[in-house]
Amino acid sequence: MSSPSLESTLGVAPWTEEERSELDALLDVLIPANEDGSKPSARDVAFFDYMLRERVADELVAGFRIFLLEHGHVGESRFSARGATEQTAAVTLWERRQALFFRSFMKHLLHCYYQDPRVVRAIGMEARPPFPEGYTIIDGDLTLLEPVFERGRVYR
Amino acid sequence: METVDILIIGSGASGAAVAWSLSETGLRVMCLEQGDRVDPSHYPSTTSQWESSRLHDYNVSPNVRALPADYPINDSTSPIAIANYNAVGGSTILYSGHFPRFHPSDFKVRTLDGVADDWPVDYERLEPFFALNDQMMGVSGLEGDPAYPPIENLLPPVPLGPMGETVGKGFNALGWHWWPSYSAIATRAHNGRGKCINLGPCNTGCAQGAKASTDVTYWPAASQRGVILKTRCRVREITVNAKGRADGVIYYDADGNECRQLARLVIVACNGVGTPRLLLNSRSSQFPEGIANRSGLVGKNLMLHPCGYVEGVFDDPLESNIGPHGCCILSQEFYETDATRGFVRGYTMQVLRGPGPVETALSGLLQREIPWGPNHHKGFTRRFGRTAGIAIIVEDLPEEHNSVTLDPTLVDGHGIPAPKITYTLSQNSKKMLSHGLNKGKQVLTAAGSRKNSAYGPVRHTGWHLMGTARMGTDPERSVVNGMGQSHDVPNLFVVDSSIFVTSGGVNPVSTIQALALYIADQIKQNLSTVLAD
Repeated sequence: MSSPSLESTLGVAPWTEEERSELDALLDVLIPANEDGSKPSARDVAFFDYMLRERVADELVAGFRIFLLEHGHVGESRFSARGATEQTAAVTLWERRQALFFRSFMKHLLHCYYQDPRVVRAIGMEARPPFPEGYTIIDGDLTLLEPVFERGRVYR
Repeated sequence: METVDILIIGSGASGAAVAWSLSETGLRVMCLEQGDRVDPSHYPSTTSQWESSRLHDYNVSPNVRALPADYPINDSTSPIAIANYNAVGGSTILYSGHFPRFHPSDFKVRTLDGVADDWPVDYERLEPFFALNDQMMGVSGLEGDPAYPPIENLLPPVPLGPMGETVGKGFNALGWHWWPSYSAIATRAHNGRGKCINLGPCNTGCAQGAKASTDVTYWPAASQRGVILKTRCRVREITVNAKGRADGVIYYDADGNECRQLARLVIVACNGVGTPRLLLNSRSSQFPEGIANRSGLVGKNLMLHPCGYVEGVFDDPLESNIGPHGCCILSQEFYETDATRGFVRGYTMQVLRGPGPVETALSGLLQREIPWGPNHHKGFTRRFGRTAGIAIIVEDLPEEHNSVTLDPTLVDGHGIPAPKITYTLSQNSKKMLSHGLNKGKQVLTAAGSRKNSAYGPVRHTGWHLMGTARMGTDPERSVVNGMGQSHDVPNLFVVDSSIFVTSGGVNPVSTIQALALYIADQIKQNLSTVLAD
């Protein structure tokens, strides 16, 4: 999941193993795998790589560290060590206190998650670009227009 | 230095059409375009990451793209931000291709409704040019629409899909007008272009070439007939000679060199923001307030089409995540004035298909319909492919205080003053928008939506840039005459949407191009006069 080039790319303090672990836990709370396992957890969609590719790692890591400062990342108090209820409460608080950053974080996470090939397949689409194959949709029933036509001219 | 006969500035919707039309004169025609040629193999739809890649180089905002071809626009105080694209093909590269014509009533609003001004041309006069443009662009739709005079030779309509059928039934339940969209999308192979294969995000560029952007419609034909198209050339100003006639331009070439191009006739086609910017930047002792601006109206009367958005969520799958996003069906039920509604003029309801997976998840999150946490997947499934949208496109009436001026400090990469937008919605527009949002919810409910949301004006929808160099017969109250000719400078023409007298309530490109072809025809009929020194 982690990228070896992340630390060298970040313009902030080096990324620690503990922080990676906490981020994994957070991602798993935000978008857990679904019940049958067809949709992966957000911790498994290479979010690190996305952050690097989209050049948002500095921004997101810095904001995530504020979350860790508030919610702990060492010992028994660390986020990943808490139960589900406590984790949900911590994220809810984070969402309220840092609403704009939370929205930005989720925007990037959703971009990453919903363009992951496994996720795209799981929601019923083919994991490919739209071009060149395109898609097929039904023409539809144009006889539905009969009452519109029968009503007559509506322009001046 | 060689003098060209006709110099066109801008290669978008109007510049391309006028270049093609004038190419048959055999005169030396040149077009200067500040952007570059686009490579469709780079469009977002060629990648699996298309929902992310559209946010950067194909963003609708020039301020976000900030590419070398772009110039900044100060729209910070406007409730509607300007959208455009700068390249060969202009904003047609990113438009959705929704292509209704203006209606006959749009050209005579003073006569019919006592507001604004009538146009110096009417639908009947433009009709042959609408038809010609339809053939050049390749327009799909369905004949027999009771909201228009007869429109013939359309390609088959874009597919309704389950979503179009569902929403159409909603309109029927209320007894309201609806019709398959007029779409600048080739639903059959047309003039060497492939047919639409439902890529979806037409508004990020069409890799198939089915959507009619002018780089794949007019420009191949114009170039074949000898029009010279020079890219990455940004015009700084139009110059005038001692006789008060335009004699050429000063521009910066691809390497940043300041260049001079002489011309016998100059045609401006830079859209409703770029055109007033250029005219206002073209100052001289004869035109201290900008060329062609003795009326003082260059940059005034900016119209933007305030846009509202209504979305409904349905229980049944609508497959709304696929298909041409902006083109499905439209309604003109509330297009014409009805005094009982509390406002004058009207609006279009443009039914939009639903978004892709990322946008579905994002909008669902913001609306608290798709939560984070254990219920995320359930919420997503209940929305994805099950939404239908309606854009409410409100007719904006001209008001002088809505304007494009030159920003006192902001400049582009060549140091040329950038445009500043001053714009507010009128009470009439606000009432119309509110009416449209309510009617949009009503029709989606009638179609079976289980939950609706509606808001407006939507900020990043300032595509339709009109009115800032208006047509008219009175030189005191207009910038150009009924054939797009400057009242002040006889060999200077404007052909883009800045010459619109009113805005109508539909997407303007069809009318922009019909008007450009009409003006080109007028120029051809009066060549000896307009080129006379």
